[in-house]
Amino acid sequence: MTTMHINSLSKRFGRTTILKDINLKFDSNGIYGLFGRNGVGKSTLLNMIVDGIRPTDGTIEVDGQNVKDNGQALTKLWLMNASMPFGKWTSVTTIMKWVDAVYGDFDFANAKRMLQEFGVKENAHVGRLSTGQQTSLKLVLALNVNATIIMLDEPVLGLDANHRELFYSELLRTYSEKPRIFIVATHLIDEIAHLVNHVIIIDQQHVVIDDATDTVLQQAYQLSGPQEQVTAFGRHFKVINHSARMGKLGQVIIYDQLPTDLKVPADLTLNHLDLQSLFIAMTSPDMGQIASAQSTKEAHHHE
Amino acid sequence: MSKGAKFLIKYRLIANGIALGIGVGIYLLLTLLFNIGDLANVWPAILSGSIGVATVVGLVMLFVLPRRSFNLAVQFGIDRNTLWWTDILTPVCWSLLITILGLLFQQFATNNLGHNQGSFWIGMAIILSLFFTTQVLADIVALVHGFWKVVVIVGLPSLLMSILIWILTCIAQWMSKTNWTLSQHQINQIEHLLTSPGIWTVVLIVCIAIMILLTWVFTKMIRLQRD
Repeated sequence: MTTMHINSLSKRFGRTTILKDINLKFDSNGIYGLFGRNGVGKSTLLNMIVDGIRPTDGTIEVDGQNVKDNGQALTKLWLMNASMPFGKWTSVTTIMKWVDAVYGDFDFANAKRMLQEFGVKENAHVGRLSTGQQTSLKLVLALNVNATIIMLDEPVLGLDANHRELFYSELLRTYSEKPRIFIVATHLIDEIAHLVNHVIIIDQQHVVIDDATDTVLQQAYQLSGPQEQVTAFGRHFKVINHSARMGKLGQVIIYDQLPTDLKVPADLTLNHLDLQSLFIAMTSPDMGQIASAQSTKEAHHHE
Repeated sequence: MSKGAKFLIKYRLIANGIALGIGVGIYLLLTLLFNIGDLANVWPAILSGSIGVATVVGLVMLFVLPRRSFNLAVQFGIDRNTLWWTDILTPVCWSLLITILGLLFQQFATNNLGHNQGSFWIGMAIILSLFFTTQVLADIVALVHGFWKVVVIVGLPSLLMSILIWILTCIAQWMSKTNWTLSQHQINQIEHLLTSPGIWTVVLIVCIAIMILLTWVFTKMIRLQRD
């Protein structure tokens, strides 16, 4: 199987640093969820992987080969994003033939079936397709191309709810029939959470989570109850966010490995968190301030 | 040759051919509309007209083809080195083809229609060749620096040169309408120069050199960075 390693990757645009020292390893087949807030650099990262833009520092290797100016490595990759690289007078059939000409072994039969389900005509020209239909076309290409690393940047942009469900089921079907590396960057975390088996979260230029989904969710908790007790109990663990405080009630988000025999006080409630809630808590702007305050309190406690 | 390279060459040859066909078609249509029965007196207008058409076509190509090729290359996993040489190769092929056809037609025109017709056709061939060379430079710059900068870096010098040639042809037209006439000897000398492939080759080389220089100057002025 194909592997990809991203080594100490950084990207600056002028004086603005978007990504800093990104290290990621894709060593096994799976559906990887790439999450981050708007402007955090998800699309930039994916564009650097396909050598569309060049990193400021660091390297990207596919099967041990640097992708920079390397056609052999690049033809193992496929990126689907918001841009439409095909002219508006190009027909859907022609595009599929182009993909087959370059990558070989394009699954025409499956692609035609999917086009029908998405409501896209084979003889239609790109310029005549709606935004949703163009997205559908790009999805069909991505799920049927003969590449070993498929990257989908906001794959459901412009799709209605029915087609989004159709995409998710087709993604699972494609993956089960031909396991590969799929990297899906999306804001709709709730919708895709059940599909991804590995979570990557980027925040403030760095990777903050890079782990199996099960492992991530096992460490995500919401602790709520009387504020003083929440603070006292929570100080023993890694609190990443204080959420709503109503009167004397408090609530914190914990991302930590808790002991299996942990005894939670009767006044407190400890629940597991879903992926989207964890993402929001982890990427909320007050996270740094809370962590700093927490550190100060613990320092005083130890004194 | 990789599958990606083959694909890109085929794509660019077809795309360049279509653009060229549109440009030549517009040029011929304008020529017919303006009634060029007596080419001896209207060659400045034809020359400037062909430059204008070629400039418009070329700017359209600048807007569309370099970016389209780059996006296709990224989509299809074609590395930049392959993109570079296929991007340079296809316009040069068309350029050479047009130049050869233009020279052949010039010979035909000279033998059968007289010198003025010949100069008209060789002028067209040279202008279109210059134009495609401009596109090659535009593609190189587009690949290195990013699309929008091409419009400034290469589009602007192209326009400046077109304006310069317009001015020169307007002067020539003014000369023909005023009492400032040339002697028959002077006219023969000018005709000889205009039908000399050597002169036009020098003109082409000088134009290319100016284009490269202006591209370099604008690049430095805008402080572009290679992505």
